[in-house]
Amino acid sequence: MVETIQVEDYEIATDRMYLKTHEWVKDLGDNKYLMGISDYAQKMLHEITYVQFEDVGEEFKAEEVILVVEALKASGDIYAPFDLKLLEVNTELEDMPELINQSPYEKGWLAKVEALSSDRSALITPEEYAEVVKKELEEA
Amino acid sequence: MKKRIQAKWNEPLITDLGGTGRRAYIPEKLDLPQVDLPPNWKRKIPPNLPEVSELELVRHVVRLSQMIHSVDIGPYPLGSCTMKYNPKINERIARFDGFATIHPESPESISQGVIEIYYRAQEALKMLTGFSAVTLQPPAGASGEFVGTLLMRAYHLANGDTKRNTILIPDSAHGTNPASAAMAGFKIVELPSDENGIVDMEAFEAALDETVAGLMITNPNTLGIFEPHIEQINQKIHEIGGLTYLDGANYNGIVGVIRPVDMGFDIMHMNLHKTFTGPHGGGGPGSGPVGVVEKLAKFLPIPLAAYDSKNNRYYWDYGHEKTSIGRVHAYNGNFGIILRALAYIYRNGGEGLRKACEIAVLNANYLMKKVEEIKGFIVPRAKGIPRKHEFVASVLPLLNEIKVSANDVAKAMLDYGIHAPTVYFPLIVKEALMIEPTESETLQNLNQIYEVLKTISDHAYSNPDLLQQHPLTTSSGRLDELSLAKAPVLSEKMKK
Amino acid sequence: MQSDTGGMKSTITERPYQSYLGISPEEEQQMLKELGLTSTMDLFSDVPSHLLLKEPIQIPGPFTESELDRLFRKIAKKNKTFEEVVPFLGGGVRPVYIPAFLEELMRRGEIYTAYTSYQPEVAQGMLQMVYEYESMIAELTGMEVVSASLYDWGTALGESARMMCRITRKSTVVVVHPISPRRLDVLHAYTEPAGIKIEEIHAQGDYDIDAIRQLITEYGAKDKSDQDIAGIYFEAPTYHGVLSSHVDEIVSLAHEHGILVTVGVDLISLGILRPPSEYNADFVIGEGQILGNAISAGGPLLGVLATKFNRKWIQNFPGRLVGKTTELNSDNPGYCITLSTREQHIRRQKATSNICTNQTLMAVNAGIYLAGLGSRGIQELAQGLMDRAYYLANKLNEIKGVTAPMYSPFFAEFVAKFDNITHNELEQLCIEKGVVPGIPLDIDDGCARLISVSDIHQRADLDHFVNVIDEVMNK
Repeated sequence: MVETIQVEDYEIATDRMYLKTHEWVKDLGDNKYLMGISDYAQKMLHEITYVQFEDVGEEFKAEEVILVVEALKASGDIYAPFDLKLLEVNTELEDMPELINQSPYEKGWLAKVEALSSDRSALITPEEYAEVVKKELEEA
Repeated sequence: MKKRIQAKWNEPLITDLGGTGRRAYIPEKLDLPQVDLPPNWKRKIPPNLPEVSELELVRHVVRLSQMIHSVDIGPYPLGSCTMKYNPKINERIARFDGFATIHPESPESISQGVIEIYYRAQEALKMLTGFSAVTLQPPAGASGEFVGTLLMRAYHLANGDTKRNTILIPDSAHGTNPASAAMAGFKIVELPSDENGIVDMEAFEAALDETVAGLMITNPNTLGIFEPHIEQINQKIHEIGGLTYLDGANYNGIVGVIRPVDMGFDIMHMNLHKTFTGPHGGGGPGSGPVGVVEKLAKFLPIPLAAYDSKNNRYYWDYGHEKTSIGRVHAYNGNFGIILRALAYIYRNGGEGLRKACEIAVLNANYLMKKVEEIKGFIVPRAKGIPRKHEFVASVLPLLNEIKVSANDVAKAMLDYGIHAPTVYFPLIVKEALMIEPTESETLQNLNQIYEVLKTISDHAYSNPDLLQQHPLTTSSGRLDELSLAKAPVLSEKMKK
Repeated sequence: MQSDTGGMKSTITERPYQSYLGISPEEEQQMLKELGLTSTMDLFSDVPSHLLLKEPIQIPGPFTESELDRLFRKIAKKNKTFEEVVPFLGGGVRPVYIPAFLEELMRRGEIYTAYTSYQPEVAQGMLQMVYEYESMIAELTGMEVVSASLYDWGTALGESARMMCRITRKSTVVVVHPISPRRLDVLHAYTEPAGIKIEEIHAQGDYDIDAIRQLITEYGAKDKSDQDIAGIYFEAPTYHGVLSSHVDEIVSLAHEHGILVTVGVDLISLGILRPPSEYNADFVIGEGQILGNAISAGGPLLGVLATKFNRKWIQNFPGRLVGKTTELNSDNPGYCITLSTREQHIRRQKATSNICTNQTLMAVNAGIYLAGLGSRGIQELAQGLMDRAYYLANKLNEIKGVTAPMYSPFFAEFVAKFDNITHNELEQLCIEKGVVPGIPLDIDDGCARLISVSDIHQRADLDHFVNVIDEVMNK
């Protein structure tokens, strides 16, 4: 099991970094990273119906949309945290998009990417991300 | 309150009806030589369309029509959509042969009546709004928005002003505003609303810079509140060289009482299907004319209707073709809706339109006062300020206290023969019910809407779980939208 | 301002518009009292007073209903209907015979006074009719997914071009002429602000297949990173009426290089012509007015857009989609709007289109019309149009100074050329004798026109047209 910080009903895994826009980014070494969305993000989207992937091998600039997570009444864009190349996508989600709801940090991973730039300033720690979630909950 | 029972016919799909060789419409066969198609163009398998008799088809459609809630059936307080009565004389007029059968590329000499209708509608809308020129080409409100933002683009580019790539839009705006501006190539800067539901002036001023092409704003806004600083807002935009756009979705709240041009707007779209009774058609057609101040007239889509008084002749004017943004419709927009709107405008005159607006506002405020008293309902923001044609209630207390949502309330209303208000909009109000009764509803109907909401509140507090079962007396119960979104069936050809 | 409208006003009744108001003057007073107000204008107390008009705006009216009826009847009479001047006009829209049952059904207020089916439980009838329309268009075109409606063929082209660019993340669209200049205008308006380049391959009659081959060959030789064509668009039949033998080749050339294909079709022609699915078109667009909708001076029309089911494409699709599902608590079928996260009310500036209000009523009308025609009817109708067009072209061709058709084979429209006469002369003389001789075309130096037949034309109308042209050309 992944260790987590709890913010109200939402779990934040502590073994990875985050973006303010609710994606998680896990360092696999060798400039490779695994990406997904946080527990908070999947709960805000509710039942996820589809993930719109771009083609494996495509390259993206930082802040470009690399894929879209579709739910029934909402959708979320997943942004590139740095310049990257899409190495692999979670094809299991094609038939079972609900994996993101059931297991956002493990089985519901979205994409494996390779960093093409060295700037990691967009990444924040789990603690910092917890503050982002707290602030959003207060504003809501 | 008594429930109403909607027809439930369990009507099969038309593609499952019929037999072999039954006929409804038999096209006329002329005594002419039959031409052979080039072999490579021949369709091998004929299209598999239903084969039904005329009566079979008539029954099918009549049964289905009984499973649609519409203005002609009952109250339809769908906020922001202005579901007012659609006068039947308009339908008769739109079907006159002299209008309904005319080809849009008919030479001017034999379509004088068509151009005259366009001309009269342009003139009437110019008088009502105060603008110098009006195009009737956009076939819907969103298309009008697209034209409006294209006009902003054309204006700035004509001035050699290439840096202006953003449009300011309040967070309470309809989704079409940012979508249209984005289609026209702009970036969107969202303006926050303040605690009174109006534009936050501090944030607004902070957003002003030389990249701003213009502002798109709805006034009265989507909370039904008249923006009190609207003149100041428009002036500030002008000071930095931007243009101001009024989304006329809520024009019914001010029509005949306030001229949009007097508030300082440069551009406005109107929704003829809302304010001027074009029927909504189950989702359309609409019509979204755009009015502009003088300096923008030369950018309007081509052509405009014109009148040569010397020769008493109407004609299509392409004079501004070189500066025009071009066309957003292959012809001249939804003539049939323009015609109905003109009939409505003439029937009312300036006096009648003003009265319609006043009554629409009276009805909204009367109902708001009653709804505010219902337990679990609140009308957030701008306490004590009268609304215009609509108001936004919230059932946040219901949700917090007993887990009954705006959606639950909406679904329960359906069982009482009342269409639900617009729900979860504007986005700045939680658990929103956006209610627009229009001037067409009677005092009894307003009281009925109130009684229904009160009954739902009472039921909710006595047994909140039961509320999730609604609707029960409609043609169908709640649907499995999730399975459909995961594995879409979008036509019978996709049926598994 | 025209002199006879400004002062127009009824002198007959006080408040002739009262019939549209739910509240009587007496009730108004009662409601004001309950609100503690003296005048409805008190509800505008929050508006800066200088913005409030003191007097009603001086537009024509108010009128009684019978005055209104008379006024509009008078204006309608200024247009020449079919009984006076027979039009041979098409170009995308055309007059159609509307069966009486269809007209009667479309008068039902239950149908035309509803709005978008936001509450599916009380809109099953509307949703089912839209789903039936989608299913029948899918059958006709060989596709699977059909938009619940776009505004017209022109805007369907604009939306399709933008969609092809989104899907491929490229930004050039190739237009294969001949296409309608009006639709081309709309395409430009829709694509120019998005930075999409339109590359045109000009031609008359048939497509310039050599130019297409050359363009694609050169494109294929480019570096992958320099390949920027998202899609290609052609019309079949072409705007000049031609049923080209090159459609299969164009589609396969495009597909070889990952270029998407949109084809614009005459939907009635598909009763007898190969559906676009057979030559592997990716997107099919067309004008649904010709499916039993009144032509109404060019609007409301019906933009048709169809494609095969491909989830990625569908996520990029513009406009509403109605799908089939079941009730949550039973197996009963039910219908609802689906995949709405593409739309403006949810995705705002990232939406696939800004379209909200569309042309649903025209789609419903088209669905009933197609069901009324049935398999046999649509074949007979399509064949009947083609027979009329060929008969007319052959007869016209016998007249000295007339070339008809200029290009062939064709379906329901063809180009005719008239020697030694200007467009204006021809048009005026023909109208005097009771016909409109098609749409002027901007080809050649002479007077070439697009002649279109319709199912409203009986043999006598065709012969009348031939006689008129004979008289005009050989006076």
